[in-house]
Amino acid sequence: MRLLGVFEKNSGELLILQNKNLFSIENTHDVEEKFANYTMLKNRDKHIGSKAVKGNGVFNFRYGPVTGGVGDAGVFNIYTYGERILSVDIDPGYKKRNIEASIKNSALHQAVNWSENVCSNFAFSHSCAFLRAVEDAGDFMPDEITQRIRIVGVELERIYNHLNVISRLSKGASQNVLTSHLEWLFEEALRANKLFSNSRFLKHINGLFIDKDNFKNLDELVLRIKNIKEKFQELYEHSLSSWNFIDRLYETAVLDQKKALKIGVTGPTLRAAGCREDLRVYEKFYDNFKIITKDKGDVLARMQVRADETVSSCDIVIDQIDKIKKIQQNNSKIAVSAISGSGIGYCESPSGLVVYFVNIEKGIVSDVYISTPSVFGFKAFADSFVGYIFTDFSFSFDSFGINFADCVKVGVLL
Amino acid sequence: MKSWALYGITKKLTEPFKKLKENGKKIDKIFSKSLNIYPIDVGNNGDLNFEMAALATPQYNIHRFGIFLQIHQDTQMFCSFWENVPKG
Repeated sequence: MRLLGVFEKNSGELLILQNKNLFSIENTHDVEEKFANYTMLKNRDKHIGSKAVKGNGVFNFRYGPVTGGVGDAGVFNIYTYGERILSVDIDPGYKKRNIEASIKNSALHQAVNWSENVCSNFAFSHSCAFLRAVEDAGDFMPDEITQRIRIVGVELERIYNHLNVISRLSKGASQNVLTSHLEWLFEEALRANKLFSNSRFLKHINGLFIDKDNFKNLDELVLRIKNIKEKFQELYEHSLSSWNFIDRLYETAVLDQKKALKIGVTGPTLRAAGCREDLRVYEKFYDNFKIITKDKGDVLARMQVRADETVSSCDIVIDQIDKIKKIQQNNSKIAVSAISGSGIGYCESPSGLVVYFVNIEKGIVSDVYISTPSVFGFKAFADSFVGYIFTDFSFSFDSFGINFADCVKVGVLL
Repeated sequence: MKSWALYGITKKLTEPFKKLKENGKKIDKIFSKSLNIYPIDVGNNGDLNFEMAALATPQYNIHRFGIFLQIHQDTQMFCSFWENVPKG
């Protein structure tokens, strides 16, 4: 059982819990004893990480919110005596998002757009999770074409995100030729997204019913994905023979399985620590899906999982498009104004599990809670970075594929 | 496969610059030297960060025009941007 979120309702506290692919909302006693990440989730808007460390010569190296190396607005309070990192406390409050408040009292089509704007590089995963929560609330299933197109969208998102993470790791290790070629592939992947959905970040295509006729360039998309796969495999294989590169990643920012489960982290980070958990395995239209895992839990393992998943996602996209072309679609549109009730939906995003809890009254969202992978990822980064040196910052941070836009719920300071 | 150094120079990834049909205004008087842009995130949803990263990819290679996006280094010029507002 994993705790994914804590929220207040009717002056009481409710918890979002996960057991494999089953999610529930419960009011449990002795929460702090049962779930080690309860306090972290409760204070996720104020700080994530460990407490400040005091001692002779120890100082706070404050990194961010506007500084080189940190693209998003957020602060890393890094406690060190000048060499090893003793503790990391992350302040996500500099970035104001307030998406949940914006979703409340919105019509469903507006709420989908808001969900896409939580974090653009996980836009499709967020909209998928939101729509699945709506479907759970309305107790209906979308048609096969809609579900398969969603799989294509999620996997395209995974491809460009993984390429971006691996290119950043390569950049951090000054592998300039490899970085340039990976960045080239990253841009090619974004162009493939545009070809597929008319949006480089796969926005404004997801819905309760997705019309197959809106996708005219599927053959061209397959060719491009095949090209990306072929080039990436060539580069990745070559990169593994570069000891300069591998040396920087090997045994850096190790997060073992026990720690990862305690934090509640999901996605490639958890799989790189040896845990066979990927909720795509429970989805009906993922055919012969295989979970990719590694054992070490270090930056290298996280990169290897992402690299293998990139290739696997290319295969899934090609396979799904082939099936989409063969299936006839029934025009089974749903009256959204009739939807009322509460539901939970999830999606296995490139960096972990995105989960939405929604309450809907006659097609209007009255309540929402969003659990995002970056919240857990920041805690995983803070814990795994302890004991290493500041030079490892970029590898450690980039390997989790997280960002403040996905993490921040409200924003405290602004 | 060739060594990285040889591999790097055997592939030309940068796309040729397409000139606009319209006559653009010269910016020599405003920016006489290279343009360094230091983005400050004021709450965007991340796509602008990604698009800026994409501008530095070999396809565009905006460094060749003297434009530098200082995402990973400290510089002194600033610009800010706003988050996308979803279409209603």
